[in-house]
Amino acid sequence: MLALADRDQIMALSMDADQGHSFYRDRAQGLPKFHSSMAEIVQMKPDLAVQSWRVTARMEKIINRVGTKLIIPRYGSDPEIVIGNVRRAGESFDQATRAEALIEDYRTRLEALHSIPKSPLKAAYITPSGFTAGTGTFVDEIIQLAGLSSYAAARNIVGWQSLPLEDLIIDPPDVFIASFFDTNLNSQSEWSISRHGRLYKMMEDIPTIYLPGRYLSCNGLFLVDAAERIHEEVPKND
Amino acid sequence: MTKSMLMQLLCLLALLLTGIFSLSFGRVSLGPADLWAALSAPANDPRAIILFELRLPRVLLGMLVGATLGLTGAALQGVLRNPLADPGVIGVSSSSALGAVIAIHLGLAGVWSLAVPAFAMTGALLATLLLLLVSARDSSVLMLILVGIGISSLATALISLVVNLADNPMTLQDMIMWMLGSLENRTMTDLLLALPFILIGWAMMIGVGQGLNAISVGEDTAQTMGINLMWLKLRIVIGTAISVGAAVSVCGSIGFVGLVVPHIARALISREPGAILLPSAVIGALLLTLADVITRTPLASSPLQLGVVTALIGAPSFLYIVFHTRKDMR
Repeated sequence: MLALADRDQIMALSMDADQGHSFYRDRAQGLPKFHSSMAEIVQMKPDLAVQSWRVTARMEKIINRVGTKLIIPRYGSDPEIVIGNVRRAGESFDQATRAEALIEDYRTRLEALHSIPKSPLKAAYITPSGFTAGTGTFVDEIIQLAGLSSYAAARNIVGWQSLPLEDLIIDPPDVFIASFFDTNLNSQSEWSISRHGRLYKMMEDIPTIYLPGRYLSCNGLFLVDAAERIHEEVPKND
Repeated sequence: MTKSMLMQLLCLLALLLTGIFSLSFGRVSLGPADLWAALSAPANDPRAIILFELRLPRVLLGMLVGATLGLTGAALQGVLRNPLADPGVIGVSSSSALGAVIAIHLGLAGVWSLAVPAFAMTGALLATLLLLLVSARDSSVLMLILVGIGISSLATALISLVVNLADNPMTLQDMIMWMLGSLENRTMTDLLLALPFILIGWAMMIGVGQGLNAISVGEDTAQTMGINLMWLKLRIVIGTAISVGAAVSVCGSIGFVGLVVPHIARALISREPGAILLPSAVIGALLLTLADVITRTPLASSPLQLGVVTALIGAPSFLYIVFHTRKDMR
C-alpha cells in the first residue's frame, strides 16, 4: 500500500507500519493507524482493505456488506507471486502505471542479480532467536540472488529451523548474514545460540553482514533491495 | 555391603557414565579419543570448544539442577508427609517462571543476557519471602501447602496475563519455550550464577534427615523426640525455595523430577525419608542428565525441550509407581 498508493488514498495503516521492521516505515510516518479489527473497518467503510492473513469467509462477507473490497495478497517466495500481488494491488488502488513501473524496476534488478557470478562463499543466516532459513524460504532465495551459497541449504535444512552451535563450530560458514538484531521484534531466545558468547566470538572472526530487519520482515518487492545490499557487503577477493 | 549401599553405588556409577556419555553425544560426536585430545588441545580447537564451552556447562548444570529437584522433592515429601509434594507445591517454580516471562516480555534479554535468570531468581526470592512471612506465623503443613498453592496460582495467572499481552509471535514463542525448560546453550556464567544459591539451599538441608525420620511417625511424636518442627520446616521450605528458584532461573521449568525421584529412591534404597535425601539427589541428577541426552536425539528438526522429556518420562513412571505402591499409600 505504501509503495503504490498516494498518501491521501490511505485512510489507516496497521499499528506496526512505522516500526523498525516495516520496510516503508518512513512513508508511514504521520498517517493514521488502526488495530486492524473488523469493527474498525466496518466503521471506516474504506473502498479497499488489504489483509494478508487471518481472513475468514465470514470476515470477508461482513466487510463486503459495507461496500469494502478485500485484497488478500498471495504468500510465497516466487518472484511471480510478488509481481502478481503488486499488479493486483496497483489496479485496485487505481495506480496501475505506478505498479507496472515498480514491476519493471523489480524485473530489471532481479535480472541483474541473476547475472552475478556465483561465489563459493557459504552464507549462514542467523536471527536473535537462533533461527536460520533453509531451502524453500525467501531468505534462501535472497542469499542465492546475492550470489552466495546457502550454508543452511547445504546442511539439508528445510524451512525455518534453529541452527546448532556445534555445527557452526565444526564447519563454520564463510559469511554470516545477521538480521533483526536491530529491532525488538525478535527477542533474544533464552535457549538459542544467540545467547552463547561463542556465537558472538565467531561473528567477530567471520565476516558478518548485519541486515536491518525491515529488509526481511516478509517477501515483497524489497527482496531485491536485500539481495543487492548483501552482494555489496560481501567480502571481495582482491 | 547392604543392598541399599550397593544401589547407591550403582546409581553413582550410572551418573558418572551417563555424564561422560553426555559429554560425547550430540550433533558432533566426540569419541573417547576426541575427549582425551580435547583436554590438552589449544583453546581454539573445535573439540575443546565443544567440550568445555558447550557440553561441560550443560552436563554440570543438568546434574546440579537434577540433584536439587530430587533432593528438595524428597525433603518436601518427607516434611509435608505427602507423596504428591514436589518443589512446585510451594509456588517457587511458578514465581520464578513469572519473573522470567516478565523479562522476556520487556525484551530485557537483548539488553543484558542474564536478565531472564536474574528476574527468575527475583521471582523465586519474592515467593520465598512470602512463604517465610507466613511460616513465621503459622508453620502447619496445611498452611504451607495452601499458601504454596495460592502463590503458585497467582503466579500462573500473572504468567497467563503476560503471555496474553505478548507484543509479537516471537516473544510469545520465547515465553512458551522458556517454560518448557532446557539446558540448550547454557554457559559457565549460568552455572556460576545459580551455583551459590543452590549450595545455600543444599546447606540448609544438612542434618534434616533425623527430623524427617521422626516426623514420619507423627508431629507429636517428633516433638517428644526433641525435634524443633518449625525450624525443620523452615529450613526445608526456604532451602527448597532458594535452590529450586536458582535452578529454574537458568534451566526453565522442569516438572516431574522432584515428584518421581523420591518414589524411585524409596523403591530402590529405603522407606525412611531421612535416608533417601542423598540418593534422591543422585537419582535426580542421573534422570536429568539422561533426559538431556534424549533431548539431543535427532527425533525432530528442532531439539526437544527438557521439560517435555522429563514429563514424558515422569508421568508414566509416576503412574507405574502409584499403581505398584497403592497399598502402602492407604
